[in-house]
Formats: sequence, structure tokens, C-alpha cells
Amino acid sequence: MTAPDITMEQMSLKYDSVTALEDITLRLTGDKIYALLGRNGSGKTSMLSVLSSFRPATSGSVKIGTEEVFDNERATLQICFIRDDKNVYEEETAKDALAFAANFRPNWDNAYADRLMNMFQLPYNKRVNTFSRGMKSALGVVMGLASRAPITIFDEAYLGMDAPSRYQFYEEVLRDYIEHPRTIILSTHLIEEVESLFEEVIILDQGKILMHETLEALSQQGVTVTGPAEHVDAIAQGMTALGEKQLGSTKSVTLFGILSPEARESIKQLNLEIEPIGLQDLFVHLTKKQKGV
Amino acid sequence: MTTKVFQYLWLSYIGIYMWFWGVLFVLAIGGWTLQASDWADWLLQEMNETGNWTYGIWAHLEQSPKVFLFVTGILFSVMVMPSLLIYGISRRTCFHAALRKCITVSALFVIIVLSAHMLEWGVARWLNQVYTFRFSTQEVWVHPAYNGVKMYFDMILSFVSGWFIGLAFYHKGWIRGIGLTIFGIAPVIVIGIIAQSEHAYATYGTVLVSIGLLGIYALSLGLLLVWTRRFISRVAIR
Repeated sequence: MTAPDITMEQMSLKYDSVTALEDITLRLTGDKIYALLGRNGSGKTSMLSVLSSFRPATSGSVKIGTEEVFDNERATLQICFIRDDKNVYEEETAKDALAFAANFRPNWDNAYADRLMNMFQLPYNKRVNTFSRGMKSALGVVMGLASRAPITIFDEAYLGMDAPSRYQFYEEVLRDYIEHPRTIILSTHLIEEVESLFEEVIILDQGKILMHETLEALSQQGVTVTGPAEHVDAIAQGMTALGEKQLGSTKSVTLFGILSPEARESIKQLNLEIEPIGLQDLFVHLTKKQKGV
Repeated sequence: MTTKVFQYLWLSYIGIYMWFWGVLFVLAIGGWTLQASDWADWLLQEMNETGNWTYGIWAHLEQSPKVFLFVTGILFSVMVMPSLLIYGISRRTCFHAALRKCITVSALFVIIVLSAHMLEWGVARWLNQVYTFRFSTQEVWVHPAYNGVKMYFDMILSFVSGWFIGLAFYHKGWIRGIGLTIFGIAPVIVIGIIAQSEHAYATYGTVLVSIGLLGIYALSLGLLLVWTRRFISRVAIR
């Protein structure tokens, strides 16, 4: 069964007088892994909260398939939104939390939840409020993955986990996604760690969509050219430079945009170094520029 | 889904209810022991001129379930409701399930209090003690047939007031929450004043005052529920 598409049209969100999201128009097709990137305060959690019906949008529309999301169980029961905390009632034991999820999540997989609990070495009979930050994050991950919700969202949910646990999580996301395709949205600051999972990337900045591209398209949109300063400047002319560094006469310029065949030929003739820009670098450069830092 | 959530709300509270009523019954047993041993003359001060106890222990304990329901109403808004909403349960379902729960749990509590009260009254008569069958909020007798109904509405109103106040704080923040608390507790205060007004009974009679009070219950419950529904329909999960 294919996960439904997500459509946002001219969606805005205001907190009193502060605009958190402005005029968001976005279409996410089902059964893909998406990255939602943005600096702190860019509106990522707000956007995911509206998508998950945790809060109403101030204006505009958010749909899952053809259903408006807000307060609509036909839509909301298909979404599992895991945050960095408050995913369960922390006065209860992990066992109770899992039983609660099993009761209300339509696609809940008990056996898979047990396997994940063992994998992350989480105790069933301890109260969640006695868990360490990492254990709470791991429990959130268990709740998210075992929900098998057609739209599963992790918002920095694995931030408290140690590196080995995080890598286990990434492997598990991919393995389970292949076995049970669904839409997974990962909001993260640990871009390099998880980059290989993404199929499409959405970058939010100051409450607006800065970019929504496939990972492949994004990787072609930026290059770093390194060589003698005068040659590099000549290549960079007429292009958007995202950043530059200079050491003596050697200069390195990060360019945004697809290089023309002529530029590529010049680079080859001038013997300049060229390498694709990483997603994290592109993100840093793009959001830095937008922030005017 | 409403029925499923309603069942969950009942099942998840059964242990808490058993604890609560267990504690109340222990208090009642303690009270009877004190009365039987006459150790509590100074405490209860309820003896009449003939040396009989005028009121039973349950006349003092029947406020506790209302306070309990008031507190569970507050906790429903700030703890239970968010934990349901994050699982994709709609606000509408949450509201209807909680309302059903409030109506049924209030009925159960009234049955428990009245049963305990009547049992105590019967035993007192058997022991040649003459208790007046009364409730602690009543300084003046309300129409006897109205007592159970009044208590039922009191229970519902207690939960709804707590629910509304909790939601006001959760949804509107501290400052507006404090302001809205006034509206949440106003019906309880107004009803209390009228129910205990000798002047009202002397002027209008118990039947008319009882009908008037029922009208106030209906009006205040209606307004609070409409307001609560409006708050829930736009509440954001924190």
C-alpha cells in the first residue's frame, strides 16, 4: 500500500504576532525518505506540528491524500510524529507506553517493537521518567518505527542517542523502509551522518521553503573550485558564490548552480580542482547567506 | 474511536478510583470508630441535645469525590488529552469520550456516596442513633427528592470545571488561564450561595429553588461545555 501524498498550499502559522511559517507550498509524494533541514528557529518543528495536526495552521491547507489533516482521524491516524521528548506519558513504564501505542496505532507491530527494545537495550518495567536522555530518544525511535505509520516523522528524535545507537537507527530506518515502504521525514542537524538515506531534501529558512530538490539534483547544484585565485575568479564570474577561502595565491570558491559546458572545459584546461559540494556544506552556505551572517 | 478512547479512559482510571474510594472508606471507618468511642466529641461537634449524632460520617466525606473529579478534570486537560492527541486521536473524539466518561463516572460516584450514606443511616437507626440524612453543603434542606440529582450535577460540574480550567491554562497560557479560572469556578460558587441561602428558601420555597438551581446547573454546564469544546477544537499540543 502506497503512502498518501502530502500537500501544503499557502500554509502559514503565526504565534500571536510572530510569523513562524509563511506561505508554505509543498508537495511530498508518498513512499520516500525526506530530509527537512533548517537552522534553529527556521520553522521545522512548527511545520511538522501542523502536518501532524499537533497545532492548527493559521491559514492555508495541509492535506494527506485528499483529506485535510487538522483534527481528522482518517488522516492523523496515518501519521506518527516523534519529537525529541514528550512522546509518551513519562510516569508510566515503557511496557505501558508500548501497550498504549499498540492499542491506538492501526499498523503497530508488537514483534518489531520487542526486537527494537532489545536492540536498544531498553527496560520494559522501568518508568520512562527514570530513563536517560538517550534511552528516551531510543524509546521514541521504537515508537516511531514500530508504528509502521504510512507517514512517520522523526524531529531530532535521535539527538540524545550515542553514535552507535544512532547508526543502528539509520540502518533500521533503511531496512524497515525497504521492507515496508512508507513516507519518512527526518528533521536533523546531523546531516552528514544521515545524508545517504535521503531521497529528497527540503530546506526551510526563516519560515519559508528555501529549496526542495532531490538529493541528486542538489549534489549537482554546487561545486567547489580550487586553484590560482585569478583563474578561480574567472570561472566564478557571473555565478553565485556561496563562499570563498583564500590562502596565499590559492583560492577556493563554492559556487551554486550548474556549471556550463564552457566553464567545465575552462576548468579542465586551467587544471583547476573541482569537487561536488556536500549537502551539509550546501546547507550551511545557503542558510548562512540567507541569514546574512 | 470514541468508544475505544472512552473504554481506555475507564480502564486506565480503575486503579486510581479503587485507591480513592479505599482511602475514603478507611476514613469513614476511622470516623465511626471515633464516634463509637466518643473520642471525637470535640472534633465533630455534631451531637444534638439528646446526645445523638445528628450527621453521619458520609455527610462530611461527600465533598471529596467532587474535589477528586475537579482535579481529574484538570489533569485530563494537561496530561491525558495531549497523550491521546499525539497518537492521532482527534480533538472531537477526545471531547466526546471525556464527556461520556464524566457522565458515567459521576453517576457511579453518586451511587457509591448515596449507597454508603444510606447504609450508614440504616445502621445508625438500627443502633438507635438518629442521623439526619443530609449533605455537607446544605445548611438548609433542599427538596429531598432533589438531593441525588443535585449531587449528580455537582459531580459533573466539578469535572467540567476542572477540565475547563486545565484547558484554559494549557491552551491560553498562565495569565489568561487565571482570568478564565474565574468563569470555571463561578457556577460552583453561585450554586453554593443559592443552595445555602435561607432567604431564598423562605421566599421561594424548596421546590422553586431546586428548579432554579437545576436551571443554573444546566446553563452553566452548557456554557462551560461549549467553551471547552471551542478550546479543544483549536488546542495545540505542547
